Amino acid sequence: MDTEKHSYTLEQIPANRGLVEELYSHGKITREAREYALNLLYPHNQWGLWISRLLLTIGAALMLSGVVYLFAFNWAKITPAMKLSSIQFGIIGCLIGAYFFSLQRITGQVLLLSGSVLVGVFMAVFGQIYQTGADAYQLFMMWSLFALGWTLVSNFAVQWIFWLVITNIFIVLWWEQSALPTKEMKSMIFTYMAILNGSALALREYFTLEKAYEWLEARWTRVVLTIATLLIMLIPIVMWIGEPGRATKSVMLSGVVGLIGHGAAYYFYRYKLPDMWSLAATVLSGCIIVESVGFKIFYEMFRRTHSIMFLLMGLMTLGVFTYAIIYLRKTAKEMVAEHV
Amino acid sequence: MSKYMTKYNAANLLEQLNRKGFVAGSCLSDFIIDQQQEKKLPLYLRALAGVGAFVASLCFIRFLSEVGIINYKHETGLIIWGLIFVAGAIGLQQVAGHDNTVKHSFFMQYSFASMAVGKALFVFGIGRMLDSGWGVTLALLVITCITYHIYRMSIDRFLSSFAVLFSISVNILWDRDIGGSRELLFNGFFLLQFACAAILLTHGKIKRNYIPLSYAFAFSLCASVLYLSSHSEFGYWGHKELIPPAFINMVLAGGLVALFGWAAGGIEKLKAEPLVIASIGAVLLGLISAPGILLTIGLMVLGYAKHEKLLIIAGALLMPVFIFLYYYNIDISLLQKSGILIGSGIVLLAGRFYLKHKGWDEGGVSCVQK
Repeated sequence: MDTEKHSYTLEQIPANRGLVEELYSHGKITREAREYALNLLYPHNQWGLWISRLLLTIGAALMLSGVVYLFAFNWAKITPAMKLSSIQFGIIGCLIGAYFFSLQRITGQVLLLSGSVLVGVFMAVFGQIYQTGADAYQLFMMWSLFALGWTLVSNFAVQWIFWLVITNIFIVLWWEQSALPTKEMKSMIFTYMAILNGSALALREYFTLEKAYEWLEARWTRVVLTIATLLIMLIPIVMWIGEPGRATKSVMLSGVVGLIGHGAAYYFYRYKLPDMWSLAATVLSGCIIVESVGFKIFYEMFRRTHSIMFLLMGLMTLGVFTYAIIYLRKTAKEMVAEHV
Repeated sequence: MSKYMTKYNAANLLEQLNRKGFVAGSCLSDFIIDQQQEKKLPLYLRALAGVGAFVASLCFIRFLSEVGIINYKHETGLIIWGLIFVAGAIGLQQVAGHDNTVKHSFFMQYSFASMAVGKALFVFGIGRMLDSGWGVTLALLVITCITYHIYRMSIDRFLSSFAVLFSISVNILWDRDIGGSRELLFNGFFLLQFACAAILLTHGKIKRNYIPLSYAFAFSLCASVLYLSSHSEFGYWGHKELIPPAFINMVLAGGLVALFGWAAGGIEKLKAEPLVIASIGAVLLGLISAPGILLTIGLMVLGYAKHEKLLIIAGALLMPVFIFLYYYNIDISLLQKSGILIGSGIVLLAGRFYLKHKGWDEGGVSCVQK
């Protein structure tokens, strides 16, 4: 399954670490030759820079987590004024640091992100001290609003993803705690979230195509946003298929939005912005939809004879996933050919 | 072009090696072309195949149970049917061949599903027969050893090997009969896993067939570290035993120092100033930090050194999962956890500022060479 036969010429085979290790492990080259080849292919002249960034990001993540844990402990020995002022100093320090180091550099960007996290800590501690009785959605709403300004100027993909996470949590909590939708409208939340995350993905693709922001071009941003959006769109579709008789209007509407979204994702990542990982995620989501339909049909047809139902479900699963694999393999080859 | 790709092709590389007098003749060209004929499928296709086989195998097991072919109360029947399915899976793989056709894809998917069903039935049967968690481990070990070299599918090799290691950890942590020596066994098993992972991941002579096994060890180490993050006391109700993370920290800190030496090109390179500083940092982290932090750094450095994105991603994902689980560890107070996290953060940031102060954080020349 995980290998396939090909015929290549030496010029078509990329030289990489795998190839060198293969030669060395089969005794075809000496240790010195291996070292020479690896240094040739990967001149490790960026170690210092890479380690520096690793230390900064992990160090900052640990410091911030430690601060969150500390305030979650709610240490009685620290007075409320001390708690609030220390966090405020932290936020101001981060912002001054971000300005000082500039947002074009990783240090400034990490400091800005740290400031965003500390805003949330401040809101939580404020609520803890004054027992404001505010709903949780208000905390996330204010957090999202306060962080929006510097997110807009951050030029930092991680800051944007962080802001999107806070905003998604705000929308979900607001829907449950304040909007108080009727049963008929409850599943509209999937539509709203699909629009929010889908818009973020669309903007990411637009600005990447326009070459407007280099920092947006990191591929992981596309993968994260695609998977999140597909997952949000998939839920109402599966709910609709599972119990069509009890599906509310909001489930159906969100389901339709989800199906359109899947179609759009397929079209864009197959034809407009070819990307195998995003296409594979869309195809996997499609497989789950087809499986749900098939399972539902077999369940309705053979609910008294479970054995036939499970046999057919198993065979259908093999068929669906085999087709998906064949399709993706074929598409991957076509994409390579189109880009040669 | 991905930054993990290079501007060279195999012909360029051979030319360079030839020019330096490392190789002669055309035997390498034939070898490379021969090896490349069997190209690995991308990870997303393997993941898709895995999901499909998992769902299909659940359906088939349920079907067999519904028609009465397998009876969960009869262990022998389960074992025999398990072996039949495993044999069938191997047969299907042989029949499927290596061509890129619909028949091949379908047979391989069917084969993988059969293998999953067969292994599940076999393990369930032996587990019931021996009526012990160690029975499950034994069954997993036996079936994995039997199929590893015969059934050439990396996702099956990885999952089976990982299942063996995972079941050993679970048994050590929660088995009722090993009360009193739980800490010793867990630490010993961790050390063994660590040594195996280190050899498999860094030794140049390891064959491609063992890559799934090396990943199984790496992921099992992650699982062990995550257990220690979420709990400090293990065992059964009323007989919990504390497993302090000190030994694991020591192993991981030592491993990190060795990894720095390996990545720099040899243990003797550890005498270089940047690596002395890095080693002191690793030891400091070993003293004050938590295993999750050390393993995260280790995986990311190893991934960068080996140009393996999967290890870097595994390290990057381990960190938030560790921080999340650590929060809910009720055996340590939030204040202690906060101190550990802030202390570790300070060590790392201090290391970063030292790098910057020395000017080693600029690209161009390796800091070790500097």
